[in-house]
Amino acid sequence: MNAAATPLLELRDVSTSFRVGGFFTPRLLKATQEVSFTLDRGEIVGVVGESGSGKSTIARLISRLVPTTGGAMLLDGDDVLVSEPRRASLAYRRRVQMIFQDPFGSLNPVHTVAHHIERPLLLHGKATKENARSAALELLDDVGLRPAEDFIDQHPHSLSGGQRQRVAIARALAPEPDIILADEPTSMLDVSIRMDVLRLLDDLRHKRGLAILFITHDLAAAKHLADRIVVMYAGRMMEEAPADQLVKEPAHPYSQLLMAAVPRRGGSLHDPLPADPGTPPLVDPRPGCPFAARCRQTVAACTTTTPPVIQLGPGHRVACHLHTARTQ
Amino acid sequence: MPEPLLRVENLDVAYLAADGPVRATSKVSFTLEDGEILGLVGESGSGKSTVAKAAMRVLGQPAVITGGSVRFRGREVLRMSDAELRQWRWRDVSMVMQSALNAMNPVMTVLDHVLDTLAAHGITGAAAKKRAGELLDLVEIDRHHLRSYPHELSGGMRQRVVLGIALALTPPLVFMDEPTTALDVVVERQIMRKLVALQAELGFAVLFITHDVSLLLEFATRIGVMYSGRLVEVAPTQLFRDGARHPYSKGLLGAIPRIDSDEAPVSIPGSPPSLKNPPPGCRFHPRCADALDVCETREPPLVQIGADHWAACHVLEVA
Repeated sequence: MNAAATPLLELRDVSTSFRVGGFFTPRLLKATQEVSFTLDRGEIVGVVGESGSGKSTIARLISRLVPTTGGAMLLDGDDVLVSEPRRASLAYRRRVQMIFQDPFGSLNPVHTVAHHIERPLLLHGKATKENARSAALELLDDVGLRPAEDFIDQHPHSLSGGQRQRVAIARALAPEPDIILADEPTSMLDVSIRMDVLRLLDDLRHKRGLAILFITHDLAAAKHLADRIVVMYAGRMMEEAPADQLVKEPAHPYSQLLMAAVPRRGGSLHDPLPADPGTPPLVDPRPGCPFAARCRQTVAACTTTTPPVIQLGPGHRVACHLHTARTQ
Repeated sequence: MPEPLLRVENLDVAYLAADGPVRATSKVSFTLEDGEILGLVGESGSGKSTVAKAAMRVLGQPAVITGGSVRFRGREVLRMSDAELRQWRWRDVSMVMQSALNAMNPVMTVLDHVLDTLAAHGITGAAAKKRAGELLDLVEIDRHHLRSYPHELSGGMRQRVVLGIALALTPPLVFMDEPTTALDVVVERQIMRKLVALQAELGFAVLFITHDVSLLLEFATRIGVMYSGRLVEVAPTQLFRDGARHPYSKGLLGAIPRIDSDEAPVSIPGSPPSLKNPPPGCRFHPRCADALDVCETREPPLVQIGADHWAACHVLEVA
């Protein structure tokens, strides 16, 4: 196999469902269905969608916090769902790290910053008891908490939200991962400092060649940070395109709706929305495209068959019958 | 000169903490005219919600109003008795909060909520039931949801119901505290469109509190910016969008990633100050690139810098 052509991480038709409903009325909530995309070194892929779209589930699947019910997940070409079927190995967990939305909840209030960062260093053999502190100081410096000596012995409560999120990033960097899964990393932070944290992630991918999956509901942030954007709806991938292209020429009617809903300077609330209101069906979805009930451009196939993901152009894929028909 | 609908003057609110009072807002002054939408924008801890809660006199312990005045059509709200407040609230001014789920009682149906509100103002029986149906029509929720419980509605529907309840007595003023923050962008847009349409139709004034200045730019009549308990700039929306003058306002506008621009957003250096140990002088000076010596020692007052344009900044005074 050609090493250069093997992506760092590849998801192939990854699905998962959760059991919901009562004891006598069990039902399946299909949280993600047949999601496929790749993530490479030094690349930031944005995953956008509304609540319930499955975007956070994707991060949980990759971090293997939730089990998959189908598909393949290849790290350096090796399907980890086959080689490590029950749970992820320590080696896998070292390579795939996560940053959560809430820096107030993700740090333990009784422990110092030093504890949070030294623990993964020791656990993954990246430092010894003797040099863990100096390694932790270096990491704090890398995430912009300078001088690091002023921060290392603090407890989370004495830090601001932005500083806490930087500690969480330093902790994620400690095991020297290849992939960072960032689930809404700035949505709980003050508006005036959000870009700093995003810029830090951008620096880290350049300096360390990290691959970052940036999960967000903020399309404008995804446009500025991500190289490519994946649009999710009702657990399915609707579209994937280079960030600029997705923003300027969204091909899927749902992507068009998302773009139209983002505030613009000079825009107005009187501008009409290009789709009907509604919420995505997650439990017992009907056949066809999950967006069909809200879409104003439907064709007959939309309510009978799930649209296949087709290639529209370089790096541009869409799951929509309008385009299936056009390309045939 | 006729009194404006709402006049807030030098409003001071303090949180009485064990180690001394914390000033949540300081000398906040603004007016709101009939039919106007004033957007108050600020980050967490800026005091924007405190202003609305104080003006409606719904602040909870340990927050207390320590000074200033709030006048509704010339009448002093801060001196109203409890009985007067009960009549004034909802008939003259209502409120929509961020989380409709918390604003609604989980064991009451939508109809119960509306009837409860109307009964408090003497509307009962068939008239109240009729009004309940009208209100759901108003916010475009099917009438069969009168029998629904809050958990049976989606977040967007709950927020519409709460909006309907706020308009139950057609008050001339509605306070809205981050009413769409918990919602997805598409749902947010639908609610905002409904709100703006209703506002145009019914003509009520709105004090709209949010951290999202991009949203305000699309519908507010005027925008006020709060920072660390102070109102630092107030201007009509278009003027604000094209010519905000306060360094914090400019920083805020530049810090937000925009979908319609390739210009890279830039964060404001530092982070918002703690209210417990605020910096002396202008509270923004440690983060301000234009700060003068005077900014470190003397707090700038909110002064008029143009037609209907107010700002609190020493740099602008000098210029």
